Amino acid sequence: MVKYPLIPSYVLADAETCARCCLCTLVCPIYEHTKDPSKTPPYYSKMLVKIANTRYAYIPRGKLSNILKEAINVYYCTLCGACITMCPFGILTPDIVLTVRENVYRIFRDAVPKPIIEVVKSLKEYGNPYKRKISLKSLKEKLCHGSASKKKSTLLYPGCTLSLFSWKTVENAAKLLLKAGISIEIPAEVKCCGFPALVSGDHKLFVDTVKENVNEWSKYDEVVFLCSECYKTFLEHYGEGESKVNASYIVDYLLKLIDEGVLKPSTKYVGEKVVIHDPCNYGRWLGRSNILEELLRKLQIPYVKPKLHGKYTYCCGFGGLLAFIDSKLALAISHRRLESLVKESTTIVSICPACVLSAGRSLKIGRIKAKALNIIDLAYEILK
Amino acid sequence: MEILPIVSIMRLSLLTFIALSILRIGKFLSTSKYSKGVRGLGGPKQIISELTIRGIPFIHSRFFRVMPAAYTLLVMYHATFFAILFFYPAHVSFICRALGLSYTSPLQLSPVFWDILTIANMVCIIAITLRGIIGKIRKTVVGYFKTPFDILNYAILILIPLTGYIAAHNASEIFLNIHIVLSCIYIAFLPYTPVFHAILGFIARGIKGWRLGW
Repeated sequence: MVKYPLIPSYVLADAETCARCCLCTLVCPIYEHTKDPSKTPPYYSKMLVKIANTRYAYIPRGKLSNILKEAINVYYCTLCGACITMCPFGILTPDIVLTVRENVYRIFRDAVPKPIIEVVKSLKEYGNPYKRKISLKSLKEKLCHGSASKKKSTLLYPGCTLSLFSWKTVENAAKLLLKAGISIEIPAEVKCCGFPALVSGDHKLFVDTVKENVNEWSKYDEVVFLCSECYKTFLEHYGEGESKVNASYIVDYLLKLIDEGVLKPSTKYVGEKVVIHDPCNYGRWLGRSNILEELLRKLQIPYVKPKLHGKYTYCCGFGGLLAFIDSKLALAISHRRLESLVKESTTIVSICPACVLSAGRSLKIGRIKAKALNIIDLAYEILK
Repeated sequence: MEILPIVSIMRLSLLTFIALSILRIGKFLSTSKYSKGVRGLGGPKQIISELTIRGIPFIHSRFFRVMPAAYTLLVMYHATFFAILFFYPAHVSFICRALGLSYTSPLQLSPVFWDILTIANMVCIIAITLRGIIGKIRKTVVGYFKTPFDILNYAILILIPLTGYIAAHNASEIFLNIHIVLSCIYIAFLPYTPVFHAILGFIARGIKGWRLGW
């Protein structure tokens, strides 16, 4: 069966609008580190136009093999969206990259890099990209005991990265909500939000995951997301599913509880001022970097903003599955970001679990005397 | 007496331009309808927010801070290009003749002013082309002068202002006719040239707004 490229009209229009001025390359973290022109936003636009043309024109065999050879480059994008802030036309390169990946996965499956195939395999087998089962059964039994028969109103959705690498943060968030008198439920087995499937290019798997999650989440009165990436995926990619679930993000939720006087600071923050790292998903995509600052202000924690913050924040290197494709490059990008953050303070605070994880690893490998904290942990210390 | 029926040529090139534009833009409408769901971007709201944030569309202080020389060249090229194309009195009267309108340019300025703009335009396009040939990224990404079409495109882009400048200072109509014919060829095939990004930019935002919500 002939498979035609599936390209949303606005994505193709964006790709064809690209005038190849290359202004985006000046802020692209991948180009900054690799200096490879084939790993730049204009090149991805060019690739998408080429793939689109396979529908409208005869592509000679040689040219088709060129598309296959070039396909690996598109997996190097971290989807951070820094390019959008520089593009005179506001071209959404991350959407172009997602579309290329999706079409490469659908039509030219042989060109998909092995680590991506393994991620998809892991997602199908374990429900997360980390090739192992993630269970929060013990935490669920510890915190949600005695109320198993009651109707649960709030589901705490931690996401796979937080559950696997920092389950203590999940516990802290749960304890804070319990302190506020909210009846919560924690999933015994954590399932992916679908973002890795979307980024891998397996759109069918993503759609199935969305359906499964929406069915599960709609059973609850509300869902509180602990991961900013999961929340962003829910808001931007769940389509109609979004209206069926009453969702909120933990930082917004905590701010609401503090405003209502349900949670009050019990201790005063003692320590140096913290430096904030705005993740691309909240700082740039959702344009809501102010909530982290607001929470820090309410917790009376002194903070500084780095040179690149908010809309112009710099990538942590973890996005777009880059850590699976080229972990050294991901680490180098993370290290570059840390250099600028450590100049301001040795306590780094972020709301994204992936950013905290990436920074933590980079600090350990680089033997840098600093610490990366999730805002939830910091809030717990003051509000507990 | 005119050597060539220039008004008819211009009308033909404008019709070709419209037909090819429909063909190129129509391609977007035949693609998939589903969206990836990115919200809040595109459409008139985006254009208005750009206007309020950036002051003048597509001009952002960050661009200038990052690459002052190249950015100045790009802005100068675009500004001179649009000023000469739409406000030079001879152009205005010719375009109006082709469209059957009676209108005169509001900018009845000294010929020296237009000479300076034309020279600046030529210098900028030559510098932009050289930047493309020398610059590593643009050379690889854009693939300057890899095909005969690239050479033709940039040759015409440089020749149009050059012949126009000579025509303005020469009594002979040969250069004027070359200038008009080259412009007509470029206008006719504009939808398939890199210059079409000027129109596509707005269309892409319109489609984004339509698909993703205004």
